[in-house]
Amino acid sequence: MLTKFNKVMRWNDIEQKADEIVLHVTGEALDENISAIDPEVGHIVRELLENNSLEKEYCRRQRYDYHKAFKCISHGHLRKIRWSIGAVACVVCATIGAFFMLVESDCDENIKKSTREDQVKRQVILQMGNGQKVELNDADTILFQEMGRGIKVEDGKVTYENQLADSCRQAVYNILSVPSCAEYQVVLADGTKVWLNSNSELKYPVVFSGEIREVFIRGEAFFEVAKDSLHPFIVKSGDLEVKVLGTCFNIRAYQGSSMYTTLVSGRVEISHHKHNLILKPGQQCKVEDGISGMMVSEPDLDMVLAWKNGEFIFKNAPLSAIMDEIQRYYGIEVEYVQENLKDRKFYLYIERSKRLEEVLQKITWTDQVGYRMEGGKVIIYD
Amino acid sequence: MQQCRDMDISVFLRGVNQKSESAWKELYRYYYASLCSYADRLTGETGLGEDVVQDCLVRMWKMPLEFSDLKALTAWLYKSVYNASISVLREKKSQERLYNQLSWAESVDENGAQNMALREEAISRFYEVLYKLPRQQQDVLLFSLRGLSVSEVAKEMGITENTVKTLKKRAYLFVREHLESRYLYVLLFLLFGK
Repeated sequence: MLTKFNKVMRWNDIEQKADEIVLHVTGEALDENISAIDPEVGHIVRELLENNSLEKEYCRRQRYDYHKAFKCISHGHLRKIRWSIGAVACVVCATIGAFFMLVESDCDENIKKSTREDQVKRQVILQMGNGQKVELNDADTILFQEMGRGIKVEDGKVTYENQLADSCRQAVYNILSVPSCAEYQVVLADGTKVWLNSNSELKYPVVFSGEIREVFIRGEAFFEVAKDSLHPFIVKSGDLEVKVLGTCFNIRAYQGSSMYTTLVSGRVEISHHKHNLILKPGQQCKVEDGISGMMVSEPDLDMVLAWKNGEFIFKNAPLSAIMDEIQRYYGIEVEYVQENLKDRKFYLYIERSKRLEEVLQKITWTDQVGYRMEGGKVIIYD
Repeated sequence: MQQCRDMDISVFLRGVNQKSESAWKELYRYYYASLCSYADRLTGETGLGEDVVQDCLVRMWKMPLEFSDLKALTAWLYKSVYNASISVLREKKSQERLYNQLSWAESVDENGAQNMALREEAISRFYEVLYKLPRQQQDVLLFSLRGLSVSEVAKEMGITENTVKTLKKRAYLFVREHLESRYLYVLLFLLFGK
């Protein structure tokens, strides 16, 4: 991201140069003719203007909440504060271990292919109320109807026409299925936004009717629930039920794994096997299928929400956890020459859009482990 | 970073020096997020950023520092976060084997770090000005930054292309005036003392 500059800038220059940068960024965006800029600063201007960098940075900064930190000073508590969660949306991550309906036979064929680009691009599929399946191609904008309600598909997102009032009609369900190497977003009729991770599926009514708003999830999704205190929003997966009292949360429930619900903001109530728990922001609840009991922790939200931002983020995580994600996302198998390699810890921060090779190279860069490709599988060795 | 800064720069600086709570709250409001973002980048996204920043600010609160102008304050803040981040990083390196998070941190010398700091400050500055803009001008600027053409902006906002062009001009003038007036404040502060 940065190149080295020969001219030495002093710390004292920051104040003035920041103004210059703002002036130039604004000027360029507004088509003004401004005088040439200092090359050392021009570089920053250009970078900020590209790829929506400014907005991305702004979103990224939402995680920092100054209020709590300031309180430490004003109340004289000069101890370190733990990372506090700001007003950012809650994400209840409920990963429902559920089934792998999506994967099916496609998986077998693709195991031989090692890179993401080689893989046949599998479709995100929307199943209508009558069972008809529609493939949602990224490139087109489709408009169609179900039960007299408009459905708009564009650019990675399907939006249901907003329902203005309670519907008395019987619920008709649609199912949105997302394959490997993909993410998708859906906006439900009540305005709730749902981001779906790869290998995930959401079943929801076209129009919400009745006292509760109920949806079913398999895989991983991030919910930003539209406020409606008259109609509680409930997410179900297997035995897990998450009742939303606030706004956003992430649910992670893949087959064969534990189910994790992580709350970012608001309040949710979790029910599983007759146990109930109300989560607070920043907390994560873990449950297992068929096993009673809940475990609450405070995970690193960067890692929990990385997928939603199109990234892989691992901080001092065991290799097994990292490779699990990679296996799931790229649809390949991973084998370890020695079992103890699974416990080695790594940091990883890379975009999911990168090819599998690039990701593997980044992990093995420090030579703690090595990898090779064999018959469509990734082999990890010392 | 959310609202406009309404406090006079001169009042602000005086308050910071005198450890006044309202000035310090303002300091947190404006600088905290960018300093944390800065520290997180320097420490390789290990999540230590906030602790580093809070350490620096608490230290600063306890010290009898006196800043004569805004640029000295800004410089001090970023520089101390930089120094603290580097020592945290060194500590981590000596404890663990090299990890592959060094793509930012490893190649950052002091010059590179200054540029990173400048970038963070510019981002805060930008949003500060943005929120002062009248609503329509704000929208035009945001849409334009996203790469929308004049006609696209006009469509989005439901106004004519000519209106868009006028709003663009006004927005730019507003930003320029706002930035220039900061210097006036700083100058006044220097001229009339504490």
